[in-house]
Amino acid sequence: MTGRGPISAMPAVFPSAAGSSDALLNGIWLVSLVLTALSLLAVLGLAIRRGFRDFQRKRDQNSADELQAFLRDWLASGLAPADCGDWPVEGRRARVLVPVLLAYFRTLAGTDLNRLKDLVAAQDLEAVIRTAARRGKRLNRMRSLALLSRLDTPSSLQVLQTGIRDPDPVIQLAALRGLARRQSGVSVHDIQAIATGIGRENQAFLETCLLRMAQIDPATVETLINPEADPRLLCAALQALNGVELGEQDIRLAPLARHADLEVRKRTARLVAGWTGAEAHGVIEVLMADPDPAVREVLVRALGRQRRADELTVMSAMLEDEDWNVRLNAALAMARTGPAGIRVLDAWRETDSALDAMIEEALETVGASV
Amino acid sequence: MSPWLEIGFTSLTLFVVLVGVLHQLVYLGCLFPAWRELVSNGNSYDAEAAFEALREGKQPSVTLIVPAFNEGKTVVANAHSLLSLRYAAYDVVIVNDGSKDDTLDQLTRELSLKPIPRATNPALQHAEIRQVYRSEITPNLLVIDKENGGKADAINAGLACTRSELFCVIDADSILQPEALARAVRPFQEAQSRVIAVGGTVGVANGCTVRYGQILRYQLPAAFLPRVQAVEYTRAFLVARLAASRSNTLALVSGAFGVFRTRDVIEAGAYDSSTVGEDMELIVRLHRHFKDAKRPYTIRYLPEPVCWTEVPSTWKGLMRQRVRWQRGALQTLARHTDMVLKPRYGRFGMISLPLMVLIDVIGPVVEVLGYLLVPLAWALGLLNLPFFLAYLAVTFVFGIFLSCSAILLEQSSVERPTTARQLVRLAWTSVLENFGYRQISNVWRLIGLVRHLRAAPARWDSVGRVGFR
Repeated sequence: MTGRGPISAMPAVFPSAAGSSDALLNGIWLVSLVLTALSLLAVLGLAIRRGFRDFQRKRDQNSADELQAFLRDWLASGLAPADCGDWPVEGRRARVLVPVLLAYFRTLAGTDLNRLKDLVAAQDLEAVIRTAARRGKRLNRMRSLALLSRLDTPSSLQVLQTGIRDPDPVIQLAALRGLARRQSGVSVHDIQAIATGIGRENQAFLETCLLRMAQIDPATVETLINPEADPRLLCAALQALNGVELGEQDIRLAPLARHADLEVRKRTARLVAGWTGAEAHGVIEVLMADPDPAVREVLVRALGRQRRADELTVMSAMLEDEDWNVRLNAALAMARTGPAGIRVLDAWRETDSALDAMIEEALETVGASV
Repeated sequence: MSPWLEIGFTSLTLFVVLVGVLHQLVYLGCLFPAWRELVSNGNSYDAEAAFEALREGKQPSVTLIVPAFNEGKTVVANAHSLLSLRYAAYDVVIVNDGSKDDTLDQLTRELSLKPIPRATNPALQHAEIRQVYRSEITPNLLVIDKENGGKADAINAGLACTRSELFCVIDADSILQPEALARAVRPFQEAQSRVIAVGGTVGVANGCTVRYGQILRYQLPAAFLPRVQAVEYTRAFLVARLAASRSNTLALVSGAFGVFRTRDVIEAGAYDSSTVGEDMELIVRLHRHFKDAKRPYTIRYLPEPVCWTEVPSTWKGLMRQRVRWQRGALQTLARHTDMVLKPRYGRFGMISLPLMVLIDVIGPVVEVLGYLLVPLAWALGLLNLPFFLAYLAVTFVFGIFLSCSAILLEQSSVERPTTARQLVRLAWTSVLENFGYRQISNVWRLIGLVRHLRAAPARWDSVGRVGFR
């Protein structure tokens, strides 16, 4: 680092600097330049790729527009599937077939949907979809599975059943979702395999699959409710069962009210508020005494949402909670239960003026929602 | 030149250069964790799951708090935009912070407001609330009319009337992507995560076509100033915040869009209305609160939920904004100096806050000094050519590498409708940014530092927005 400028020809300022070579400094600016040049080139390369992609997409979009126009006209014409001539499914159109058909399957209902299914069968389009479901890009495979789940043929069901053991967990989930839509039973073992696979990484996916299962087979999901289970799985199962007619799992809910995980306790509170089983009240009382006010708040909100007039005593007790939010939500919940709750609130108003503002708001909220 | 003067001058120059190098190394060190975070959370959002949750009404309730001051021209359109989100259960609370224009009249006329009783949480301090209104057309829209008290005060008033488990603060002139809220609340629902706040990316909307409160067509701003801010935002969000999110050391959730757990924010003391950087101050206080209480917590940043905002398009407006940001950061640091390098505050106290000191306090002074000292030192012969070149490379050229890396990260992991032409323009802008803009920006930060030290009164200035197309 010796000075070689026009004024000073002094040696290094610091002794340690004298040892540092110009090679290091040269290296710094060379590396900076190379890295910068490479990153610029990479952005330019990406731009070129993006240009090609956009070009392809534009052409795909044109083909999709043509297919959509064809389908729209055919649906409007009322022609039978056999009378619509040969379907133009080749080349680029085959690539866009799955997303276009899926969009129609998602939006159509009743007679139109059945006509579309007939068209798929008459033109043997299912073979194309099955092939797309087995190989290709992940997104297209997922879409194909979603499409197959909306068909009624045994061959499509078979593809879905194969998909559940696909090496790609995202495809597994898509297949499971499809099977649920087809109301085809899936073993607990398979759900647990997915839960311990993708579910460990992605709770949203796990919740989706359990939600589907709970709608067709709540008993299977109920078997997953076990205090020893992974909290993620437990949360997903509790969420899935929320709003579903409950069966035998009441015995297992009680320990969840004391679970170490806050989210599990909150979801238990939501679930138990909609449950009128014999032991429900006991679980509610445990949750009511939860040390975390967030759990108590969730509980009282859920009781209000379920309009549990039979739990007015619990809600009334929560009007004296130490937490402001719990007290307010208790007032709101009581107002939601109807005339009985409003009468109790009125009585509180006469005895506790501090609650006045909360009760007034609760009554207004009920009026507004009416 | 006397030897002592020369030694002093050279030492100062070396210090300036070393700090500059350290500054760049910090960003370089953020690249890898940012990439890891993007890869690990790349597919965490399940559109079908969100659709199911929306249909089943199983999303947690959220209140959008929108502080508004003199927004009469746009407030109704923005209210309509916020009411069209793809989310099952949410309220919009617009807080009219003592506007002097017709903000309240516009809302009353267009949304049929009627006065309602509302209990306010006594734990929150804010200027007096005159009246709370509910829209008769859309009952999930509330308007709070209050005395003027500033943005933080307005948010606190909104918070006092919030009934949801979560709340989201959004600027009155910002546009949320329809699914942004659904994406942002996901982390709050995860077991064992204890997420207390989630920040999302803020995108530059200048140049975009907006219709019915939604971005109809994405376009890169044509003007240089907003475009360079687009590059800057990408670098700040996709590198620095993503990396900080991975290590739970995030120091800022943007005031333009952030979702918080209501109970936790109130417990930590809510927004501080005596600072101009209330968003950063809140996050630092949340870290302090949870670390002091020894409670587990996570503050996350998600790259995908996008809130579009119009950035300043004039130099004057941008200067005001940057000076204010700098002052906000310094006020926050001044208030929480006792957390710096304290092991009890974990990585946040040991890494994040010292880095803030380096970047926000020392950074602008040193960088501006460097612009003057290093060429002078070279001219005086105190630095040799390789050293001078190394300084130039690290200070000017390396910034291009960081910006380009951020663009690559964004484009490869997050769905953005950027065309080839726009990418080329972004790359070109990331080159230009380092020659002129960055230096001016550092001067503004220095001005912010000087004003902070002089304790000049801070206020919310207009930043010269021109409105969406």
